[in-house]
Amino acid sequence: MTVLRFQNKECEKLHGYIDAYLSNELLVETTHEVLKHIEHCANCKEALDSRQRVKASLRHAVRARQAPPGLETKVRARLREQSAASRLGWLSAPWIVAATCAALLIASGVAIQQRNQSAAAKLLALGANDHIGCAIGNHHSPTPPDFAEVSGPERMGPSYGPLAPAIASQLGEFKFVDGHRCKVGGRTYPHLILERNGTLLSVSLLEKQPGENFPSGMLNGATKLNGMGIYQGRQESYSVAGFETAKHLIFVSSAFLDEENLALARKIATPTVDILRPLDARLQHPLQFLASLMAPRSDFRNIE
Amino acid sequence: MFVRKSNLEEFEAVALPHLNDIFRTASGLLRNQTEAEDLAQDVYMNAWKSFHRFEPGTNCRAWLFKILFHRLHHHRRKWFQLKLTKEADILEDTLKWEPPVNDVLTDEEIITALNNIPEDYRAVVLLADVEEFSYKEVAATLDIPMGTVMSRLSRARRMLREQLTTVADSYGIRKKTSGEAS
Repeated sequence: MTVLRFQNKECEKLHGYIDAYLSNELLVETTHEVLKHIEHCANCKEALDSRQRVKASLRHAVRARQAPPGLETKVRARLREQSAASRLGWLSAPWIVAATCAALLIASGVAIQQRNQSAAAKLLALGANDHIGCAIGNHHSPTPPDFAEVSGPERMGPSYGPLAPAIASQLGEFKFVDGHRCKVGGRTYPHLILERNGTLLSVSLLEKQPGENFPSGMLNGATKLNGMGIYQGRQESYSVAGFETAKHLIFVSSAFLDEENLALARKIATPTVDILRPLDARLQHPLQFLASLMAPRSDFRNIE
Repeated sequence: MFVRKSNLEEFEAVALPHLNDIFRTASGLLRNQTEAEDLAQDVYMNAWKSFHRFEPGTNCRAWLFKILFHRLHHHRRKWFQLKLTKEADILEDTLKWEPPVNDVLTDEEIITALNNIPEDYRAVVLLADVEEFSYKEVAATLDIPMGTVMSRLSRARRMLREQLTTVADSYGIRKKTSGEAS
């Protein structure tokens, strides 16, 4: 992989136009400016040509996919069925009113469940986006850093150093790829990347912001470990599992199947929470901390 | 609202010529031929239901694509899918990579690379680069601002180049550049 180096201001200006040029969205005057520049700049010409080749290849590859021969016949047949049904006026039949009422009743019954699912999904998206943006998007270090360095306080942040060896020891079959602090949306947080047979796995640990808690009550796709809820969701083709401590959200994301990703999250949950526990205490308000010392021992929010 | 009498023959005449476009985009988004067939049928059933609202002479293809993404969204909701937040966009300009891409990759290798791009980005690149919709049309189809179309397209193209470089590497056929050790 090579870092693009602009020869001068003109090349830098052209780089800003490349995408719009490829999409034919530039004004005529600007298009002329681009053409004039590439006449005497071999680097920019090559960059532009290469992108045009990729675009043309993509167009060719996708357009080579044809609809199966029987699809049009199926669509025509279904359209005729639907058209005939409409002519019979079935939409105004009394049973449809009854069915609608029943559906509304069921919908109201599951409304709370859906709201909770949606709140969990919003939190899980934080983990999935870090995995997609950083690990999958290749924004991590191209060569693995020294593992001892990652285990120290500098790279992952004070108090997070012990996480790398603790997690790696639970996932012995994985190779270590990177450990760093990610900066996304104004938040910085530790991010570990591991790999098994070419499939990447991310462990992202975010300090909670106000209101960032998994919803109470068991949700679809959630499981429990020692009283702690582990939530599961998908984004794109990636699976993400999440759990929480009083002050942290922990996400495990990968392209493994949901069951496997969840099993991996379960494996690391206990040692991760053990390491975060003293840090949680330090992040708590002193009065809250004193109260927690006096309260019966419970490290996890009860989600039941 | 002006409502005209729907006519199945008229609908078939204006809508069915685009079936192939709808299918291949559905296939590119879902990465599964059977699901793409189902989605394409669903698009046409829904288009026929609302054909009385379609204004003759306007862009039927763009109208069908809008329905395609509406139905896809509906399909996704059933599966507890998560919405991609803006944070992925924030990562976009952190680095400027210019991976060299080999020009002897096959269609299959390009489709594999495309399939590895997150869906929101794949949607934009399919609409803009394959179906050749304008930025304005892509924005209307996906119901997102033009600026988002531009940033997603730029990032999608870069991810595609990165993916193609990875494919080329795995076959040992990538050209080395002057910046790399041989």
